[in-house]
Amino acid sequence: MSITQAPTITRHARPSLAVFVAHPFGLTLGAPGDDATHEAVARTVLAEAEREHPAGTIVATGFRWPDDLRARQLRKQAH
Amino acid sequence: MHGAIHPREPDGVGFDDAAAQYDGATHPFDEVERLHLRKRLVPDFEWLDFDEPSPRNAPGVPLRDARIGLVVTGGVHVPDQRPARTIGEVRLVPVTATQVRLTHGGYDTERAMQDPDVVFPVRTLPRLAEAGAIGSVAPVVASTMGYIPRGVNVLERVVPPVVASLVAQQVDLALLVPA
Repeated sequence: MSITQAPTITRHARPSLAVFVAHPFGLTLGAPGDDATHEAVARTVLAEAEREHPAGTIVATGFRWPDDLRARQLRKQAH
Repeated sequence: MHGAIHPREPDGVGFDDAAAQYDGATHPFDEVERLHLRKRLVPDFEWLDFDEPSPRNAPGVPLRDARIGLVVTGGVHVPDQRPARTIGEVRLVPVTATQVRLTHGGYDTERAMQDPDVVFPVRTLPRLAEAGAIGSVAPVVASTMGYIPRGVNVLERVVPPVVASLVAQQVDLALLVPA
């Protein structure tokens, strides 16, 4: 299974199961030092492995980023 | 390519990358990335598409007993390893490595080096094992550098050594963490 930060790209690869986390590129599990979020992301993602999702499913989660870094990355205005 | 095309979910449902502004127009992010790569680096870049998804192989044990094999694409390597290149290479990194490097042109590696766990969760996953949420973490992480413009190179040069590593370690569930 995979985490994805870009479902429109993941749809090309069509992995067996992907879980969408709306974090910026390079900050997949969360902010540096934010162990609680890293753990919450990992737990949430791995829990989906035990659910009956058809192959190719991309599961949406509620993880979001508090500032506009991700939005600027999607416009290629930030690294 | 390999048979019937399966119906897909409506595009953009629940996903924020369905529409992004780039070069004065609105595109889904995969198109932004395609245009960006064509303009900057690979003039004939195209996504590699598959007619069908990879099949699901459910772990044979409950998650709390599962050995998790970690695969990362953030360009992780230990200091004496040459960084993985865009042609598609894999570096095997111990999950206990105390010093790693992140070599990748597609994200801010300096920011991630403040805490490599953000793209290389070798601190987080063992904590889940200690808490009983998962069984264990495989001792070797398969790492590639995810900017590989030729999709066929991923299939031919990255997938085989990654699979070999996961099989050798008898993982129950592989988790790919992108950067």
